[in-house]
Amino acid sequence: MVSIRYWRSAIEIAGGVVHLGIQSGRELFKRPFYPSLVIQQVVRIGVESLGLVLVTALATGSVMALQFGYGMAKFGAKLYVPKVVALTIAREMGPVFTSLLVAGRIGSGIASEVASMKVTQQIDAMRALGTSPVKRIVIPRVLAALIALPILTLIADYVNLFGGMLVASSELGINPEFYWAKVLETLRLHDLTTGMAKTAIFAVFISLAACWKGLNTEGGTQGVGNSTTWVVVVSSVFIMISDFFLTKLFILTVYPRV
Amino acid sequence: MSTSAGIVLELRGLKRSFGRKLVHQGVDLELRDRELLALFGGSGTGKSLILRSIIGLEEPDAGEIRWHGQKLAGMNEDQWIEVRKRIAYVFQNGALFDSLSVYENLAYPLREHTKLDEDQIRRKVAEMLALVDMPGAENLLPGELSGGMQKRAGLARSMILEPEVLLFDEPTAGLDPVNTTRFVQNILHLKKRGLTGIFVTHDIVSALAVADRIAILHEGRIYCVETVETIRNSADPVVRKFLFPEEST
Repeated sequence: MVSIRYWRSAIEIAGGVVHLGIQSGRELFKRPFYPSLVIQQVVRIGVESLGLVLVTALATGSVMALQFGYGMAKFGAKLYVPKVVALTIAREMGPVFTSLLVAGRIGSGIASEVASMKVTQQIDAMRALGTSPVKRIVIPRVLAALIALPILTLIADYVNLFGGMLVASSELGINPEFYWAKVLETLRLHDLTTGMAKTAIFAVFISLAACWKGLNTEGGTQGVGNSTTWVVVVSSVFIMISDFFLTKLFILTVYPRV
Repeated sequence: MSTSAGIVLELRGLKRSFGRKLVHQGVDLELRDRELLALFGGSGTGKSLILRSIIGLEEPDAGEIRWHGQKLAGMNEDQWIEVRKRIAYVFQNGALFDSLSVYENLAYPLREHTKLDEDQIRRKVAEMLALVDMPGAENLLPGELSGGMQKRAGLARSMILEPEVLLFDEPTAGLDPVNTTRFVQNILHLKKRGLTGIFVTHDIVSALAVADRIAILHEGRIYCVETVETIRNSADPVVRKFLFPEEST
């Protein structure tokens, strides 16, 4: 019985998010357009998340270099640290960590904002005043996430690598010039683009799921709290699971075979 | 018997249920041009649901709603937008956008649906705020307004596009007597200007003061629709129970 309920709930979520995505796609090219709302959201999602992303990226890159360095030193492979760190960051850690941070910070923010508007009838008022909540609320947030998240990831990738370099040079005795030379030698454009492609998919899901949950919130302030938690949990699970399948897909189609 | 002449809105056989609960079991109602119809009924009988169905915020399970003879069911969102410019909804709590100032709230429909420049918008907003006794409130945020002011600002926003019909969802609920009187005076003032609307309420005194006709929603149907005078003098126990509950205690 429990598993039937979970499956039903999963289908309902998928159906709701896909339906909202289709609606947004339909309304995307119809007037009126709200570029100022998109810019406002880019600032909120991108610029205001930058500090958090930078600090986390610096820490992640440092820890990765440290762990790989001490682990690989046992096998005399310390000099491979830049290569391993670069690939792991560009393909996995950069996109996934940045998306998880954005899911936590922005997904919850969008969900609570939209849910509050729903329970205070502001969404109804928007419709009653002859405007579309999809155009004014959903589309600007999805577009902004789609613009901001890949850019944040690129920045995070660089800061991750920089953090790795700091630790590699100070703790592992790897020359910074050697570190960067190996990073540049290892990374290919597809390593960055596949990472950004992942974040684009995560961005669409996080923003759509947050808007969908917000727009379907019931039950007053408690409902708002539940929606916020729901979005963080579901987005995080989606990021982790879909990351596996996307990585598998890229291994089969994009990354060169060893 | 009423004729179709002068009928602005017509509801026929409206049915709506939530799960097993049948809320509307065949609602029939007409709204005539330049009349204010007060809609009474117990809590949870679906009075607000009727208003929400009229502007497409809820979809009835069966029955039809006609606006100037045109069926509203099956319209797409673009067509609904056109209807919503002409039928305005005054929400119970005002439903002002809390991140926008009163000025931005009132300017919102003008920016969306008209080509007025900022000066014209400013003048129009000031005019509407004066109409609801809130001159100079432009820069306040909804959170800084009292409940009564929020409702009046909501009324001003609903009226700013000069709609043909106003749907009031319990506009005096939760207001103190002073604010209730002020709101009623606002509506009476609008009535002199030819207001057409439906006024969902539990507030008998206000309804008797402003309404031309009174409808009572009972057991999922419109039990009766009569003029205020007829209702006042009605001997029907159901009518008297709704309008003069103190008699049954």
